[in-house]
Amino acid sequence: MNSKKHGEKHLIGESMVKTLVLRVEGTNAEEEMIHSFKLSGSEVDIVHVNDIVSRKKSLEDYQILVFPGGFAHGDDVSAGKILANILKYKIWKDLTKFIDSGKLVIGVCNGFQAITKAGLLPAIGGIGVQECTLTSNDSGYFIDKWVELKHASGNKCVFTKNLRDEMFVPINHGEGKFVATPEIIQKLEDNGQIVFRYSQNPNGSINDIAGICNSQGNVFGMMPHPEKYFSKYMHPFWTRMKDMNEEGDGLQLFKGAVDYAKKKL
Amino acid sequence: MWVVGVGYKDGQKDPLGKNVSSDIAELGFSNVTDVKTLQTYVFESEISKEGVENAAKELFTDNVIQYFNFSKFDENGAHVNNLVKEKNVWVVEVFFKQGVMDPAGLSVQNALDILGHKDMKVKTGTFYVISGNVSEDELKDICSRYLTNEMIHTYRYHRL
Amino acid sequence: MNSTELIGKSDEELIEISKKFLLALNLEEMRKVQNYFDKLGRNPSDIELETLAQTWSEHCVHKTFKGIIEYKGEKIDGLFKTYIARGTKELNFPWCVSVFVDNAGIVKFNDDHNIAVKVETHNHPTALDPYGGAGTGSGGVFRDVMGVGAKPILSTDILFFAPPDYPHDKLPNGVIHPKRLMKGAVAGIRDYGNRMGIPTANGGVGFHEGYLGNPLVYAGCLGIMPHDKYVTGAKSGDKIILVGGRTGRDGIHGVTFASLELSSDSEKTSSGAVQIGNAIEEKRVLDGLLIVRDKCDKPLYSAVTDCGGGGLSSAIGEMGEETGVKVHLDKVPLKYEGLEPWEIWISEAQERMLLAVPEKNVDDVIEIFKNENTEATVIGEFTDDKKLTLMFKGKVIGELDMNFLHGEVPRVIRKAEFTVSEDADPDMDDSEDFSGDLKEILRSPNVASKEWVIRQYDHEVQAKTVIKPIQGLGGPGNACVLRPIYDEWNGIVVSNGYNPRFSSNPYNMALSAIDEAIRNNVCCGGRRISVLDNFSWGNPEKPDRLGALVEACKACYDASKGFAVPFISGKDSLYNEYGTGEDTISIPPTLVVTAVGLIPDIRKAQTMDLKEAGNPVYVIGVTKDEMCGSHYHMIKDEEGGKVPGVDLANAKKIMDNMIESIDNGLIRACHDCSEGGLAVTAAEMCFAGNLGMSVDLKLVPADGIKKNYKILFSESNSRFLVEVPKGKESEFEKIMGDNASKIGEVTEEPNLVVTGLDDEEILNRSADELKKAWGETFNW
Repeated sequence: MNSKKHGEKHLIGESMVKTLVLRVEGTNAEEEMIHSFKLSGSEVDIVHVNDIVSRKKSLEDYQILVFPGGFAHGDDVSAGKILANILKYKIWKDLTKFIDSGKLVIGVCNGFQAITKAGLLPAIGGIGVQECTLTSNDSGYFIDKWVELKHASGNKCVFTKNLRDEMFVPINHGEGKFVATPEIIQKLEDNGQIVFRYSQNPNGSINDIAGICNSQGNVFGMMPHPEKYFSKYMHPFWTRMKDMNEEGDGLQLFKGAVDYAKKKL
Repeated sequence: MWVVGVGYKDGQKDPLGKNVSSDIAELGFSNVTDVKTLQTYVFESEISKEGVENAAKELFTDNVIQYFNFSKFDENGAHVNNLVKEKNVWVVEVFFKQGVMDPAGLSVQNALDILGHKDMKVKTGTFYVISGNVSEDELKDICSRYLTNEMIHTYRYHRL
Repeated sequence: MNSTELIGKSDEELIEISKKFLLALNLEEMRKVQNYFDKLGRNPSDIELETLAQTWSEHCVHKTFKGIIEYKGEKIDGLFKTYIARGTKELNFPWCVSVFVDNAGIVKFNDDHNIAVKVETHNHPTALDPYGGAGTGSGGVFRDVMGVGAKPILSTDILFFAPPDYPHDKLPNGVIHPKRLMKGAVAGIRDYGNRMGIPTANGGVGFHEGYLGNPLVYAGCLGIMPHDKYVTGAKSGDKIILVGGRTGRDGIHGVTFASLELSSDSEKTSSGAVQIGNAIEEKRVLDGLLIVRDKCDKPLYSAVTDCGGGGLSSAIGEMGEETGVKVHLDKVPLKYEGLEPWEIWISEAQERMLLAVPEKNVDDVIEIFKNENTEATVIGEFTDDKKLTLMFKGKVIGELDMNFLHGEVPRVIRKAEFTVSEDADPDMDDSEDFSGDLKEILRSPNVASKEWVIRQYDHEVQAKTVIKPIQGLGGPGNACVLRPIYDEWNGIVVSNGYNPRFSSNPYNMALSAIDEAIRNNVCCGGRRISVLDNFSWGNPEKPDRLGALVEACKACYDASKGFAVPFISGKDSLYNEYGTGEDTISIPPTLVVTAVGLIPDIRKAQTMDLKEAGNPVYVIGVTKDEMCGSHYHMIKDEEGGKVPGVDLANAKKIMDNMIESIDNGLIRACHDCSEGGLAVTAAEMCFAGNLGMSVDLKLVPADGIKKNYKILFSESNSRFLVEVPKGKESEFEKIMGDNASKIGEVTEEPNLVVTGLDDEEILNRSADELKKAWGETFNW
């Protein structure tokens, strides 16, 4: 593994893709996230947002930025809101530069909530204005179950092109209902910015939306947890299934991201 | 002191309100027709009116699905008239007792710091807006048997 | 410094003082304290009295389990020593790393790692505020596991309430309705575990009218740690660092309060005893603790412990027992002004831990926690004078000899008595069709689906749960299986066992609980099992309650030796009685056993859902006529009969043979028989697999039983229903011997069909219909 000086451009094929998993107080699904990226062929660092704010570490050194799941700040006020404000008020310039350069940003569950509330997704009218939200499940309860997702054909996300049509993954959330005005929803549909839909809507999300991307296709968020399905043995009833791959279905998402970064970033 | 109340916009679901409403019905109070909830934040430290509005917009409210109102906090609860628009309802203000920890309040104080409001002291609460043909005695019963726990809460109610 | 006059006081006055200050010290203890200070020539300060009250409380000292009991002509020299620890000591397994001494029991996992386990009750606080009480129960047990330096990877919860449909108008004053308690407790455990990112993947909910005034909450935690990171032993010169939340008046008199019975006045007198939790604070502490542990080769601390019952007074008192300790109470960060030093000292504010840190590491440690947005403060040091010295703003406000504080608690001597009164098992009429009875049992709260509870808990977080609480297409799992290290195949199996309905025969109840915990573990492939005991009982000063406790403890020793399964940790919560004026109602004595096993290869783990039509079904074990406490008797309002016991020698053989069969691929599905007997087991296997089962009762080894209902619904122990791959029958039978009997097969048609002793069909219902009945009760 070559070590690169800060700022030096990465040569294609020479070094490994570097992924940054950003944590805060309350992040808790980072171990499986790191593992999923490592299995997909990326080097991974986990960094506390305080270290980005204090400039101990820089986003520039990475090709993929990940906001993992958890209960950042306890979901106080609303899920992901406080983290969204940290992004807006403390590291906004670095973030927008990262996104403008075409690098990948991936938010899963709590991460998706934070980047949506910070206006990084779907950014139809421009970055920085919140256009959608993730709010309390219709039931009012936290839900832990496995769901089937349909990968929307022809969607804009740059790194999910090779995904299979369906993906079976767990959801673990209390505030997973995707909501936006009818106008925004229509734009998402028309622009191909809806990446995943639930086959059976578990939380009341409008138009069964489970994951979206921005119009460039490099910022992506989803409520379900593909990082919790990197091995066959995490499936909820693997003991009764026949002919399963050793690799879990969720891994294809991360492989797609790392392969894209390897080729294009 | 200022108080901010955050509620769901018309047409948006209020899952907490819905669950409270069905739980109350289960207890035998069949007259309750609806329950709405407001997340409330009381500033116990000095802050300007612009500051409160900024905090409400940038932190307390999810502008896609929620609205906010704010008002000066009144010792007798008159602020309820400014925060709740419905009529013919009971409004129950529920806060933690003095001395009981309010972790959400601590979180909010740190979050306000991020927005530039330093050294804030905030306490959080919940207002329940109860519609239906409910007598005062029934309301007191609902409060003590379900909405509140005297161990940790203080509460009062108003008729609007 | 306030002092309390003790010198020269009479016996009556001493008792008054104990009552007035909520010390919960009895006369002998008060006299001992008076004696100590008499020798010193002065009266105790209020903080010294409080320290003694906390340290000598039932909760911290376990007076009942350590005291002397006169029972049926014997003098038992400590229940704990004689019946719980003795089995473990005699078994002397090398893989038991640390048992009964530290915050949690520690056993070996693999060459590099150990597992730490703890289960604790948090009953009294839950009765007052179910959300806060249950949540902080979880928070507390997580800290116990963190307190040995392990990372929590599993949360468990077992709860007990009165039936959720209890009539509101019969509710006594001051008692919260069981449904509200249950919703609150589940929400509390959910929010704490989910926020800390610890999967809650094992547990249960039990119901009995006796829990009306006293709900029970058993919160458990399992953690993992590299074995070379386990350090204990604060050294003289180390600094005491307090980490985490600030200190307030929370929970003051929580431990002494736990020794008093609840009454409708409890609310007024105990408002300090309620604690609210802040899970994110604890997560920040955990994040910092793991860095402090792993940054260098050896942890930056010499010892770590959690701050729980009794607050700083217990934690520091114990940590500094060998060396001596000096504490500066004015350095403790406070939530608000106005706390008296004694309040700071005994506060049970949550989310706090203590580290003993060598001076050279102090700055590093504080910096690391600061980066995690949590506070770490030096509040004292470890000395070498074997004294507990308390200071406030430079003045000494309390000083006690460590030896006196820890060594001289007078042992209680109590009398116990118990007689089991059991009559012959009644002989009721058989039915022609048991579908109604089966559905009624499936609906009853103890058996009914708890999916409403389970789906609120995140079991996927940390991605280590390979066998989850809901198995197959929606059946109740017996145990969960964790794969803690992603690229290794060995795993941990966690299960539990309890049955308060068996409490009329406490010896057999305890045996049954242990058998159930073990057989649940075996169902998924667990072996090399160790267990934890958790007793929730009534007032031990009443001889019959105490006698029942003795019987249960005797069973613990017998079962531990019989199964060769050591106890590694345990806890007791006593005085669970509710006062209604003249009399008190005790809870049914409840022993919960948690079993932790290993599985060398998680790919061989088993679940309870039927897999393939045509496979044979076997029953393992013998069904006996012993139905006291059974669910069938409950729905028929029948109180007689005998409580099931355990044939230990055969039971162990069964468990060992089952594991051998699983390892050799001879089992495709496996489910144990418990509440509702064989009928419920078969029903659950069917709807979890969306397949059917045909069963012939004539083929069930049943000890000469002549009634169908007894074979269907008896709750005899050590039994399983097993689906064996077709073609493997003779291999399976060879290993299991007489203990296995083929009784039917798995059918494509998803119906449970049972023929009785006279070849008549006595049950024929679709899996769907049975599942529907099972899912009705908690469809909230």
